[in-house]
Amino acid sequence: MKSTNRILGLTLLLGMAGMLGCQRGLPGSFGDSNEMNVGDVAAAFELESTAGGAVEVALPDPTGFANITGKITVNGNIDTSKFVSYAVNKDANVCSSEVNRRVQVNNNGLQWGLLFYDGAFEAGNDKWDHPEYQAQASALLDGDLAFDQKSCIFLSRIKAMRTGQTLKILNSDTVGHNAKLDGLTSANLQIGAGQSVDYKPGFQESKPFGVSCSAHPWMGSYVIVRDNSLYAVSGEDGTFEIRNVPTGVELPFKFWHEVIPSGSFTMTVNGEDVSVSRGSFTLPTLEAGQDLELQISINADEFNNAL
Amino acid sequence: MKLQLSTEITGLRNNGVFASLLVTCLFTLIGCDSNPASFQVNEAYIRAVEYKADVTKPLMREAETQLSTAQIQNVSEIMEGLFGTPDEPNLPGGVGLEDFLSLRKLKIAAGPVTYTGEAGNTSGLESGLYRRHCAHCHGVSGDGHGPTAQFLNPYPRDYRMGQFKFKLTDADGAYKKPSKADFHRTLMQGIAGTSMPSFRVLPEPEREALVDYVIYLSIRGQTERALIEAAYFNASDKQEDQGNPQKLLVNFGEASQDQDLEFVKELLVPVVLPWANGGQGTVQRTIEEAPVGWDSPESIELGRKLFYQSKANCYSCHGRTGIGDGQNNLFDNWTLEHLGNAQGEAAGSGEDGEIAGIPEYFYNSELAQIGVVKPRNVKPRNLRLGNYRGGRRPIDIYQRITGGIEGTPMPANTKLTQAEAWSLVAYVLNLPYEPASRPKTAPVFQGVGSNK
Repeated sequence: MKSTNRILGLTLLLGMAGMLGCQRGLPGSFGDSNEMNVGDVAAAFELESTAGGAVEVALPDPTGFANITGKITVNGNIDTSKFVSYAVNKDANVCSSEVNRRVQVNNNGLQWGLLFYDGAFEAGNDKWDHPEYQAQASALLDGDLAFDQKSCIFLSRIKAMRTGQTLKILNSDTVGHNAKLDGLTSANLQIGAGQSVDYKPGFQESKPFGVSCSAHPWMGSYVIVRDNSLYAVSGEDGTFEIRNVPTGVELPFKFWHEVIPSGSFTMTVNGEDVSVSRGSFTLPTLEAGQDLELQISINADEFNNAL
Repeated sequence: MKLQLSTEITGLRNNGVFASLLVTCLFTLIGCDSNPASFQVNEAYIRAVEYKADVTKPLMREAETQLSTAQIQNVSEIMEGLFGTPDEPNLPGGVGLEDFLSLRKLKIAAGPVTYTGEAGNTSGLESGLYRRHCAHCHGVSGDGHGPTAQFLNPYPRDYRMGQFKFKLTDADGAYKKPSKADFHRTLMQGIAGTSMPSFRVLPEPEREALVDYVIYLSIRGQTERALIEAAYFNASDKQEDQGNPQKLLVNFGEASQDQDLEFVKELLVPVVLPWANGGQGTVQRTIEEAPVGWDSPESIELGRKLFYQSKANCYSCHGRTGIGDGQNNLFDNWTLEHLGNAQGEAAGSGEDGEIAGIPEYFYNSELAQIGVVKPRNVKPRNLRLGNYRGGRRPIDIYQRITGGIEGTPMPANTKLTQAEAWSLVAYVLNLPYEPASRPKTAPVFQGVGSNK
C-alpha cells in the first residue's frame, strides 16, 4: 500500500512537472508572422546594404509660399467646475495654489491650441524652408521666446520649437526647480532660483512631450520639437499665424490641445465641417502668395468630456 | 472473495498506476510541443499610447481607438524582419548598427543555452547567455518582466525605453546614452541594494556578448515603441486616402511597400543615432579629478550649505535631514508612462506610502496580464545609510549629482562649479558618519533588565 502511494505520489509529481514544463513556454508574439512579409523587411534592411530601407522618396517642388492666419474659437461654455486647484504641498510661500485652468478661453478664443504641419519636409531647401526660417534654424529662444516658470507654474502650457534651436529654460521663482523633459532628447536639469539652463533637442517629435518638475510634481507643461517652422500656438485671444507655408503641395496638419491631445472629432473650418482623426486634418493646397484666413471652431463638449 | 476482489482491485489499481506512470514518463521524456522562443509584443506600450491619446477613455481599450489586430501583426512582422527572433537575432543594415554591435556576439548571447563542446556549439563559448543569466528577471524581450520580476523590489530594468540609471555619460544631448563601459561596470559590480548581482565570474568575452545583447534589446524595444506610435498616429492619416482600411504601417505586396519601408528607416534613425555616435558608441564623459582638499571639513561645510540652497535643491527630495523623506509620491519613467492622467491625480497628493497618490481603480488584472507591474513610488535615497546603487566611489556620487539619474526624478545639476559639486560629494559621503546617523544605543531604564 505504501509503495502504491509512493508510485501515485511520483506519478503526480511527474505529471505536475510535465504540465509545468508545458506552461513554462517562452512568451509568444502576437500571432504567427507572415514569413514573406518578414523576409521583405529583412531583405530591405540587409546588414551588407548601405541603403537601409528601400527607396528615397523625392518630394515635389512647392510653387512658392503662402501665409495662414486665423482664430480658434470654442463653441459653448467650458465647464470650469471641473478645474481643480494646484495641489501645493511644499514651498507654499512661493507656490500658487490657484485653480489649474486647463482650458483657457477668452471671448470664445482658445489659448494654447497647437497647429503644426505634419507632412514631408526638406529642411534647408529654399523651396520648402523659407530663408526667413532657415536664418532662425539654430537660434537661441531667449527673452519672450524663453520657457519660464513663476509661482511654481510653467508660464507656457505648450511651447513649439525647431530641431537645432536652443530653448532657454528660466526659473523666475525664489525656490529651486528642475525641468524634466521627456521625448526623444530627454533631459532632467536642475535650475536654481533666478537661474536658467539651455535645452537643445536633437530630433523631431511626432507629438508634444511632457515637461514636469520633480520638486513640485503638480507642475506640468508640454514642448514640441519639429524639423520645420510650420507651427503656431494660439494666443490669448485664440489667434494664430503661420507664415511661409509651401504652396502647391498637400498640407496635412495636426491640431493639439493638452485636454484633447489627439482627439477624433468634427470641427468647423470657415463654416465647413472638417473631420479630425487622431488630431489630423488636411488643409487645402495653397497658391503662391495666398493669404488664407481660417476660422476654426471646436465644440466645447469636446473639452468638457475630456476634463 | 473479498480478498480476491480486493487483490483484483489492487492489481487493477497497480496496473492503472503503472500505466499512468508510463504515460507520464513518456510525456515527460518526449516533452511538450514547444514553440520557438519569440519576442513579446509590447502590449503595455500599445495601451499607454492609446490611453494617452484618448484621455476621455481612461483604462478602456475602445474599439474605435485601439490598434487593430492586423496593425499589431504588421508591427510584429516589421520587428521580426528588422531584429530577428530570440533564437536568431538580426541587425538591420543601413543605419550604422553594425559599427558598434557585433552580430556574432549577439548570437552567443541569444538562443537556447548550450555549453562548450556540446553539439551545435561552434563558437567555443557558452551560448544562450542571456537566457541563462538574465531572462528570469529581465524577460526574454528585455521587458523587465521575467518570472521573478514581480517578487523583486526594485523591479528589474525594462530595457525597451532605452533608459538606464547608472552611467558616466552626459546628462543630455547627443552623448547621453550609457557607454559599453557603463554596462560592463554594472555587470562587474552589480547594483548595491537591489537584486542585480555581480557577474564578475563570467569570462570577459561572455560579458561583452551580454553588453551587446542588452544594447540590442534596448534598440529593438525603442524601435518597437516608435513603430507602435507611428502605427497609431501616422499610419492612419498617411494611408487613409489610399484605400487602406487596415491603416497598416507597411503595406506588403502593395505599390507603397518601398515607400513604407523608407518610412520605417526614418523611424529607426533617431533610435540608433544616440547609441551610435559616429560608430564609436557613446563614450564616458571626461570628469576632472577631484581637487586637493575636496573632502576637507571646509569643503564638507560648503556642501552642507549647498544641500539646502535652491542652486542644488537636494533637501527638496532627500529631506531636511537627508533620510529621503522630502518627496515620496513620485514615480520613475517606467511607471509614469502607464499612469497617464492618473499621474496628474497622483501629483501633489501629499500621501506617503507604497503607491502614494495612485487612484485605487488604477491597477487591475488586465494591466498585469499585459506586463504592467504594480506601480511603486520611487523613493529618494536615504543618504545616511551609505548605500548608493550607482556606486560608492566619489566619482560615482559626482556623476549622480552632475549627471542625474536617467528615468527618475533625480535631475542633473549642470550649473554647479566643479568645486561646488565636489563639496556636495564630500558632504553626501560624510552624512553616514555624522553623529545623527549613528545607531542609537537602547536607552536603559531604571528597573528594566535588573532584579531591582
